[in-house]
Amino acid sequence: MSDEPLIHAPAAPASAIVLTEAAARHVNKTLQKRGRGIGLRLAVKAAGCSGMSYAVAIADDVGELDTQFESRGVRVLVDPKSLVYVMGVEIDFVREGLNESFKFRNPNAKGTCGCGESFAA
Amino acid sequence: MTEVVMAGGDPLTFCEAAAAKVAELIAESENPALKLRVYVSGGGCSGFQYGFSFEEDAADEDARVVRNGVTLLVDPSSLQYLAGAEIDFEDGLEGARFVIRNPNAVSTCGCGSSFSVGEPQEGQPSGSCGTAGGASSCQTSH
Repeated sequence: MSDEPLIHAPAAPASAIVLTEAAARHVNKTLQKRGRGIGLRLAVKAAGCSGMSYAVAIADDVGELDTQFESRGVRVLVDPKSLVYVMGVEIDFVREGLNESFKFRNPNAKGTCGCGESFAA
Repeated sequence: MTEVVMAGGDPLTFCEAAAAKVAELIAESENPALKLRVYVSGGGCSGFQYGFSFEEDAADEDARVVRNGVTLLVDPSSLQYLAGAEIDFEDGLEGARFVIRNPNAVSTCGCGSSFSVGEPQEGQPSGSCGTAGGASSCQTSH
């Protein structure tokens, strides 16, 4: 564990992953409800109308090649393939009309579409 | 279990989790006359998209599904695209949202708010009792 790179996120430099207060609250609430898990796993997959989409999950363990971030007390784990696409992203959790969902503000994204979960890099 | 209400001959399922969330939103708004309208309009990346709105008044031709004191309204032209669909509410890590599981949708895109249909359904679908294959996939509320 102590060998893992643990990067603390200060005020949103491009090399960090930052959660807003609302996003951190939602992740913590989900972790609590679930009763186990160590943080948020953030990945990208090829999908959606702009070519890539974000995938979030609760992480139960740290993968050998994961990079770890921390923002507002929430641990964020990213696999090596996804890392380049998510560096600098800000994760928000917003209510829109009847729905609530994560919103990703990504400095690497050249275009977004759909509900913002799909992006081109 | 979910209840299936025959609306104009077409079954539409209003899941318990969705009804509970609508009841919560209506309570927040302090207007007990509100009803949830679900509709289909042209647009989105797959050709059709779903919409939700709260309304006080129902039209005569609307199909109504009542569950746990909450009324769901669907206008006739939307209903032809929603026959056999389930209106559900999912609340998890990825967020909280109303979802429509629609057997008429042959593909979806975006975040599931847009869909396309295969053969246009004219009139009554035949043998609608077999549409959902029996099992409902409504969320079980905790």
